[in-house]
Formats: sequence, structure tokens, C-alpha cells
Amino acid sequence: MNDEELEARVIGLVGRELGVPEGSITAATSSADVEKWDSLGHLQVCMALEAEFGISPELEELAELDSVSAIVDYVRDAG
Amino acid sequence: MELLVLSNVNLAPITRRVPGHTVAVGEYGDVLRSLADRGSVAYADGLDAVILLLDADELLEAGDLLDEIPSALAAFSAARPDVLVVASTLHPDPATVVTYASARDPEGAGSRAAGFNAALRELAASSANIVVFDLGLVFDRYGREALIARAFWYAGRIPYTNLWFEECGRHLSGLLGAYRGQARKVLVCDLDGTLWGGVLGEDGPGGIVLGEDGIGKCHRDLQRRIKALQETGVLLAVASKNDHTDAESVLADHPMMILRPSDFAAMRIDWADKVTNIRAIADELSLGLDSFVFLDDHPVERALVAEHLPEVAVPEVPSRPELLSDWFVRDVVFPHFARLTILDTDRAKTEQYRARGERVAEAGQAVDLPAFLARLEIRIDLRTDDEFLVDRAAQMTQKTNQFNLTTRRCTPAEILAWARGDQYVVVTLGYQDRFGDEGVVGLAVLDRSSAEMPLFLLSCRVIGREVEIRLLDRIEELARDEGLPAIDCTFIPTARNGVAAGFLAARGWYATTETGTTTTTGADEAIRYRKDLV
Repeated sequence: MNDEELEARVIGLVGRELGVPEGSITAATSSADVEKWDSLGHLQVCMALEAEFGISPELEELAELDSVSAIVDYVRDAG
Repeated sequence: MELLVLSNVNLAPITRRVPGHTVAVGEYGDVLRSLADRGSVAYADGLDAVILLLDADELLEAGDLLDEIPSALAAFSAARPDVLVVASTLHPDPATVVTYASARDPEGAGSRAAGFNAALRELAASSANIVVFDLGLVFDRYGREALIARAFWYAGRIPYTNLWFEECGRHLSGLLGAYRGQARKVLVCDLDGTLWGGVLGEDGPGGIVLGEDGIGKCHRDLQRRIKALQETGVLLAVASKNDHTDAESVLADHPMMILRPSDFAAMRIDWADKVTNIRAIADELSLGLDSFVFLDDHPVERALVAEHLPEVAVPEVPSRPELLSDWFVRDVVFPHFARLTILDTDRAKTEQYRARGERVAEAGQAVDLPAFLARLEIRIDLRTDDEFLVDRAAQMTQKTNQFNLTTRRCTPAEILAWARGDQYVVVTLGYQDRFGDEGVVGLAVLDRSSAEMPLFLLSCRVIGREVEIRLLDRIEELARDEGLPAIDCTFIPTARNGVAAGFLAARGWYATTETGTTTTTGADEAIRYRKDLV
């Protein structure tokens, strides 16, 4: 999977989990930009990584996964 | 339905995961207050069901809370008889610091959870609007390793993985479907490769694979499950491309068959295509194709039926015979034949359909209808507001399509509220004749305050026996006792209830204004009928 595909899947996952309209999440989005990316939304995004990528983040890593680019980097490194 | 989930842990992710329903999640840890406080979300208007999903390990840590929940549930269900309460069982982690000693500890997690689960069962047995949801269906299928997520627990009090939420949501959706009477009624089975291994036409009666070993046992065990399903009230039928005589002799005489000809309500064994045969079975049983499920190991037959009869459910059959039994329960019975209660009348269903066949034969001999009815020796049993019959009454509103004047679907909770209150009278009709006991087959409701009959139906099993007249007479009598000058009823035509169209007019009711309400089919308009009682 190249970076572009990975980025598209992460964008799709974040949008789906937060329940926001398509197009409102981009590669540059971080949690501060989206009202629904609150603490619960954040957990739901992280929980979905398991089904999507087979990755279960550790407790200490959760807080760092607060933007699309951070999640992309994390998934790429974990893979 | 509008659902409210209450829990002692954070279950917010479940909101999107109960297909077909709208889900709100209460503040976690606020279970007792929500159930007791009439200002809480659990008392909001428009709520259809409260789902209590408790995390066992957290609850067992919390001391006495466990013991207070059953009585809080009982009080809530009495205060809101219009709301369904779904309470989940507890499944604690058996691994604790006391290790192997926990199994014999009467105060251990397992024992306390078992006591709580028993209390739930008792509650459900005595309250029409409480249903128990066995969370073991989720925990035992996947195991704790796949379902528990500690990182999310410590980060936000969410104890479970997405798999738990998805599986739990799917079961809740199935359970609520069962509550609303959405189960199908008929299982149509292929023979070769399905009920037995091999091909009868090629291998001969002695060559088919059916027995107590290996692949033969896979098919025999599937037959055992199908037989058990039939005993819950599901009708069985055969649609097979085979020589009729050969296949019938296997069904009747093969020593390893579990299912016998008398277990099937209808059989089509010939060389016609299965689409034609399934249609014929539906006609014979007078049931809609949307109540059918078709089992066939052959993908081409499945595709043909799925394409031409889209109403029929056609599950994929596993190609490995060893998977047949587990697959049948999980992927056929749960999605299509789910139910919350099994009534005695369900157990007797195939017998009733067979008895109906004998009555039809009797009618063929009878010279005229009155003589035939007299020979049936019919005895009816009219009951008013009988709470024991609430489940059966609701079931009839869900299942009866033909002799049904208003086709109004009701839940047990609605019927119970009517039976208990003064405004409505709920009348049921029990039926017996010399061929057998059909159980409760008719239902009518009178609304005293608006002089309206919102519900009148008769199971198709007894259509043509004139017992509907006795049921209507009782409603009119009750209305007269009440001093009502007249009663009204709106006949709502559907694609299926043509048989009931002329009934009220034949009993001295007359059409008043046509309401102009169009039906869902758009074909006909509802008609207001009135009967003058003075």
C-alpha cells in the first residue's frame, strides 16, 4: 500500500467514525479542526484502527494520534 | 425503534451499531438513578425500549449495586409498561486472583453472576415487557481476548473492542426484530447434498451419505437441528429435483433419516424448476414468499431462486459439511427465525397444518357447509382481558394477514396495557374441534371510549368455520352492555386481506363516509363501517 492509498483509507476511517460529511476530513485535518473529534470521537477513531489495519494502539500512544498525518505515520511505521 | 442503552461502563460506540434503530446512550454509571427517576431519559416520551448492558467485572467490583438492579428493573417495567426492557446477563472473567478456588466459592464472581442471571430470568417470566439478552452469545463466540480492550478502558472507560459492539448490536437488532414478530415461517429444504450427502438419482437409496459417522453424521446432525427448529413452530417443506417415488421412500424408510414425511407441511419432488415449486408451496400453505427461507447446497439453484423470488431468504450454504450444524444455527436460525418465546401452540403447528389437510378432505365429502361444520363438533372459548394470552394475541397481530380487518401490528406490551386498562376490552377466541385443539385463533379489541373496533382478526387456520361471527357477536354484546349506540370499524384493504372484505357488510354493518385514506399498496381505500346497536 502506498502513502496515497494509506492516507485515503485513514481519511475515510476518520470521517466514518466521527460521522462527518464526506470531504470534511483532509490530509491536513487534526482533532482541533473538527468539533466531533472530541475525546469520545478520538477513542472511536483509535478503536477502528484494529478492524481497518489490524493495529491496536497502546494506551500511551493514543493521545499522539490526534491528526490524520499522525495516524498515517503511525500505521505506516507499525506495518 | 427508539432505544436507550444504560450501562455501568461507557458504551457510546454502540449508537451506530444497532441496524434499523435509533440509539441513545445514557450517562454511564447512572443506571439505578435513570431507572428510578421519573425525570430521567428513561422516562422520555417516544422511547420504545431500554437496553441494559452491564459489564460484569465492573459491576462485581461495585459491591451491592448488583443486588439492587433486579428490583429497580421490576419497578421500572411496572412504571413504564409501554416500554420494552432488554436486560443482559452477566459474564464475568473467571480468571481472578483466587485462581482455581473461585469455582467453589459461593461468593465468587461466577456464583454471584449466576444468581443475578437467575433473578433476571424470574423477572422476565413474570413481566410481559422484560426480555433477557444472553450476552454469552457474544462472549462465548469470540472470547475475552478478542472482545476486551484495556487501552480504551483506561483512556475512556470503554471496555470492549469494536467486534463486541458490532456483534452486540447485531444481536440486539435481531432480538428487537423477534419482539416485533418479524421471523419467517417456512424452511424449504433441498434433499441431495443438503439433507443427505450424495445424489439419490446416481448413488441409489443405499448409496446416499447419511449416518452416525463422518460426512453422514454432518447431514444427520443438520437434520436434528432442522427437526428442533420445526418443533419451535417453523413449517418445513421440500423442494427437490428427484424421482418422486425414490425420494419419498428414502424420507419414509431410510433408517438414518431424522426428518420423516409427517414433519413436512408441503413437498414438491419432481423435475420442475425450484422457483415454480416454491411458489406452489407458498400457495398450498397460503403463506407469503416473504416468510420463506430456502436451503440448497447448489449455488445455481440458490442464484435462480434469489433472482426470481427476491422475497425469499437464500442463505449461502457452506461447502464443508462439518460446518453445516453450527452454520445453520448462527446464519439461518438467528437471522431468519429468531424468537423471544416458544408457545405451546408453536410446538403443535405442523400438526395443525396437517389436521387442516384432513379437514379439507372432510369438506370434500360434505354435501353442504352447515352439515360439515356440525360434523366438526366445534367448541369455542371466548375470553376477555386474559393476561395469559397477551403473547399469543400480539403474535397473531404480527402474523395474520388474510382475515385481518385493520392489519394493525401490536407488541405484547401494548396488548397488556389494553387488557389491564378500562378503556379497551381485549377478546380472544380459542378453537377446538374433533380433529384437535387449534389454541387461540381469533382476536378482537373494543375501544369503549371512542366506540371503535381497532382490531379484528382470525387466523387463516380456521377461516370458513364461521367462528368469526361468534367473535363479532361478543364485541357487539360488550358494546351494548356499555350502552354504546353504535360501533365503528375501519376496514383497511391490503394485498392479502380480500377474504375479509365482505365480512362486516354481511353482518349488518353499513359503510359510512369513506375516509379517503389510501393504503400502503395504493390499490384501494379504507372504508368506515358502522353497526347500529339500538
